[in-house]
Amino acid sequence: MSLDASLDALEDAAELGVGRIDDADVDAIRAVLAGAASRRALSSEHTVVGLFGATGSGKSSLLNAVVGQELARAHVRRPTTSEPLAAVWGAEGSDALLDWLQVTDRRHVDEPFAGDASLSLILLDLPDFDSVAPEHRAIAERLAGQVDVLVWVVDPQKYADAVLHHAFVAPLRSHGAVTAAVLNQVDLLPAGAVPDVVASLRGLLAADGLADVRVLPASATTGEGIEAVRAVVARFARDRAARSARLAADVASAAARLDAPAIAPEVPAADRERLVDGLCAAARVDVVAQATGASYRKRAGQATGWILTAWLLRLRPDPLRRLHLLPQRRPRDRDADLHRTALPTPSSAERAQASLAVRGYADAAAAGLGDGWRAAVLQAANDALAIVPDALDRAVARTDLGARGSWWWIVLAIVQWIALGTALVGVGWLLAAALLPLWGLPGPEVPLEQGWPVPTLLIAAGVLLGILVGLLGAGLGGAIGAARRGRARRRLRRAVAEVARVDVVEPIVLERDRAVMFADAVRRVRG
Amino acid sequence: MTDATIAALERLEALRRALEETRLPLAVEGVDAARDLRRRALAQIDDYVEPRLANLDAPLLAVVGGSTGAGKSTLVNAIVGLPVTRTGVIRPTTRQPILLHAPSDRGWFASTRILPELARITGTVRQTPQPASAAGDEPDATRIGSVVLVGDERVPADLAIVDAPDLDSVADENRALAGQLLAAADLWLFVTTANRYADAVPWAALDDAAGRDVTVGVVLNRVPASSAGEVEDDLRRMLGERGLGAAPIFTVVESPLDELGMLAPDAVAAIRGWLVGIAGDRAERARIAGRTLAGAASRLAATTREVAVARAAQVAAADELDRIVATRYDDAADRIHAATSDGTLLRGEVLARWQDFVGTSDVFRTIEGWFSRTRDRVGAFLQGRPAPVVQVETAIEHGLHAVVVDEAGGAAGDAWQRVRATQAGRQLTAGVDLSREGDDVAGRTSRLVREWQAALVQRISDQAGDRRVKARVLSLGLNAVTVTLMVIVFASTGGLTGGELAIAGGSAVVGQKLLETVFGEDAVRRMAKDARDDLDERVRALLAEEAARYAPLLDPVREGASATDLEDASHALERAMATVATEPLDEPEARA
Repeated sequence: MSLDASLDALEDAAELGVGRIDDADVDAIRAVLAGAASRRALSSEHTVVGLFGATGSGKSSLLNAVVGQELARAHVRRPTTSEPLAAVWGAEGSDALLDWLQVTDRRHVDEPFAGDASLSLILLDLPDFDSVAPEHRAIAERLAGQVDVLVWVVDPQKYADAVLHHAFVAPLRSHGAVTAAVLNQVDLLPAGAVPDVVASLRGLLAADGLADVRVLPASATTGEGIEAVRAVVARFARDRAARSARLAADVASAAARLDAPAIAPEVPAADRERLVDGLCAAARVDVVAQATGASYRKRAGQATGWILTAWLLRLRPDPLRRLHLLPQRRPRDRDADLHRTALPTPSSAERAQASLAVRGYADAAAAGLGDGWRAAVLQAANDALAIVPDALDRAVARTDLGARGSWWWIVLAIVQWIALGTALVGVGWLLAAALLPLWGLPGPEVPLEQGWPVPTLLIAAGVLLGILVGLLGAGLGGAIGAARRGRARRRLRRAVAEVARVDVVEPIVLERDRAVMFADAVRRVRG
Repeated sequence: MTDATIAALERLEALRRALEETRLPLAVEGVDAARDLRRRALAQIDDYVEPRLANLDAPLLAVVGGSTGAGKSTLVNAIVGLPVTRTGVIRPTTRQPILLHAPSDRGWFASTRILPELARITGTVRQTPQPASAAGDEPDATRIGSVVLVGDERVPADLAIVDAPDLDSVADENRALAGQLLAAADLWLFVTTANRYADAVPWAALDDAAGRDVTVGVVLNRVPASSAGEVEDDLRRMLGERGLGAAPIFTVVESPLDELGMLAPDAVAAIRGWLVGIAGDRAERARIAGRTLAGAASRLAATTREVAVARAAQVAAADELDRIVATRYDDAADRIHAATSDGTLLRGEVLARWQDFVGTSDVFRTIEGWFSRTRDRVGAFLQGRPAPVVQVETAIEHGLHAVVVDEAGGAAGDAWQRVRATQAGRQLTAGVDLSREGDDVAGRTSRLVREWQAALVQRISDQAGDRRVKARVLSLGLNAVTVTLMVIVFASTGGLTGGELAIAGGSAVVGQKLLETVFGEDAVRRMAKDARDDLDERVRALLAEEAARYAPLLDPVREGASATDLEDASHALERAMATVATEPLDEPEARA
């Protein structure tokens, strides 16, 4: 994978993870990105090789031996070197690079390095990292993060020191491709002991996590092995790959700090169903649907019931009106959001039910996420909770419950009136037949139909028809009311599901997707 | 042994107990250092302070310590004049410390009164000398917890020499053992080299030695002859800067070893002379032992106070976590209180059911009353639907239940997040998950609501002692009275506004008036208040149970010695040691 791609992926990871992962990790990534940007803007011709080592391990002597000139001051007093010194081959572009490295002591060397005039190289002699002078260590630590190639210079006395292995080599274990170790001062070892010590050093480096690193025995005093050190440095300079390899190693090491848990791609559908169920309960979907059915039944009864008793039904409150949801009272073009103000604020019980549902969903969505991501998901859930109860009420208010009356009410009402009229005609007829003769007026005739007086039959037929139509109306009202209840429930559930999607699921899934993308970016960095 | 010594030993034992019982489990800042201090202080008491205090006249222990590769083993071999300890070019070398003593001192060093945790292995000196690179035992990492005792006449009496592992080795166990041996030393022969003398790690040990007032001799080993003077001067300057100007410096020039891997005897003659001189002078020995002991004891007291500070930080961190959790659950209790007393619980479902129960709010209520009630009863009987009074009760129960469960869940999530935001909290809760409400909170809340209602019924029954009142209650139905009282409880502090007040508040007022006619105004007010308080108490108890899920994690942190115990013990030891120091030394006792 190219360095560009991994740097991009690392940047993505930092952008996505900020506020969700450890700030220290974000800072480390930003440092790597900044370092990479700076180094890449500077000379790509030069390879920066740093000689790191303990005090007295002979870094300065090694530099002098490798260069072939007395550039650095070597001395018996410890610690000797307090400022980094740069031996520079190829002046062009080196100044900006050295400015960035904050190395002021620059020695331009005219003779080509290792006999190859094409090599552009900066060889740094660095202060020690283990002496009583802490400022030396600070310089060494800073430059260990900047150079292209790390050369650990050790000596037979100090090659097993804890500070070298624990504080420097092990933390830079990802950088094996740009690391070499020089066992200096081999002249002090008894003859024949060198391979054993080299093997021991190799073992220690392997324990630090650097299994394949080159270990070069050398002696600055006798000149033994110096040629090999020079050759290794020259190879790094010739390949010109060290800069990228170093940055790639930095990226890998920054990515190693990050956690990239495998996250299921989707929140299980069952959890989403549970959310909608919970929100439906909070929005009292069942109650509203019941009320819709009951309201239809009641109004059907009012309209189609036997007129002499149907008026009593008007005394019962309309269940929908009690919920401020009766459609006739609301002009079709009125905005539901304004209408919302007429609804009572949700009860604490409803809020609690909504809250339980939303939090349950957030918990399911946060399963498998790290602490920071989980907190972000729960935060999204809390934000959603602030708006969900209102949104639910608006959704319910806006939903067309289908509570309007039906055409058959009018038909049955007309029949009822006809039935009433018929009965009244009969009553009038009988009254006229009974009363008019009393006042000396000719009373209407009362014809008989198969032995029954016609007015009486009219009354009986009118009353019977009224009751039958009333029963029919009640039956139809009940059946259609049940259907209306079911329809209202479906519509309300759809509206609630929409609220769940927009106000709960989307913000939570957004946060969750961010976690998935982060994990993906980390995996991309790791290649 | 004098009374003062016995008293000091008792104080030391008390201090040891306090340190032993000190817990530092939380990952607060600096805890690793404090744990290390505590562990080392305990080891030093056992290894050195206690045995030395009990036997001021026992033989001295000189520890040869220094960096890896400084040539400690070679030096020890040279001092005793025979290759006993293995030398070599592979680092780190010495793993098992070798303790060289005069045969007459065997009893003291073989006993486990000093360095009790190190097993003793008796080594023997071969008659035919082996090369130093093969001397002693094979390095064996599994035997790091032991010390090899070698008795030989060439070692001066009353002074044993132990060859310590590296101070700065990459091998952790070497470093730990080196620290332990240095803490047990009466006398320290610090070995460094021309390459090494400015290393930070050994200087940290030397600073520690200076702080403890240990007698130190410095060996500057492997110095190229050409630069011996300059390096020695530089080293003396550095020692002077650190208050160790009085330490003698013995310079050993880098020289070839003989075929046995030994340095020439005269290269170390000055060192041997210094050690023999100390060993032979009883007064000097006693002075060195006393001085090191006093220094170690005062350092021990200071360390104990540092541990006390760390201990206080632990308790403070535990308290802080406790406070985080308790605050969140208190908040939840307050919110439940608010949600159940501002009347919002009576909105929606409850309100609807209440209106069903008390009847319609229209002007026709009285006319319609008998009709609807009768029809409802008939309807309920025919359809098996519960009577309105039961529906109000259920609605209230559901509402209350949801509010409590929700707040318990919200509090659990928030408290968990806040605890996890702290480093100590993250570490403390690593193995558990308390991010959701506890098991069966829903069930426990149902029980809470039921029990609260039962108490409410009991309260009404108690109140209805009078036969007349009882009759009135019966005429309304106990259920109806209970429900009405609940409605009053949830609307008791008002908080309703505008039209709401007219509906919910108005309904509650109807209920209140109803109950007042039964029980009297004061009694209703008192019952409502009692019921309110009872509910709050039950809710708080439930939430306290929830918060107490953190107790099994936090309580162990608070157990054990307190910071004050540690401080007291340290001051007591200092006072006791001051008495020991002012007393003349014991007359020599016959040593076992």
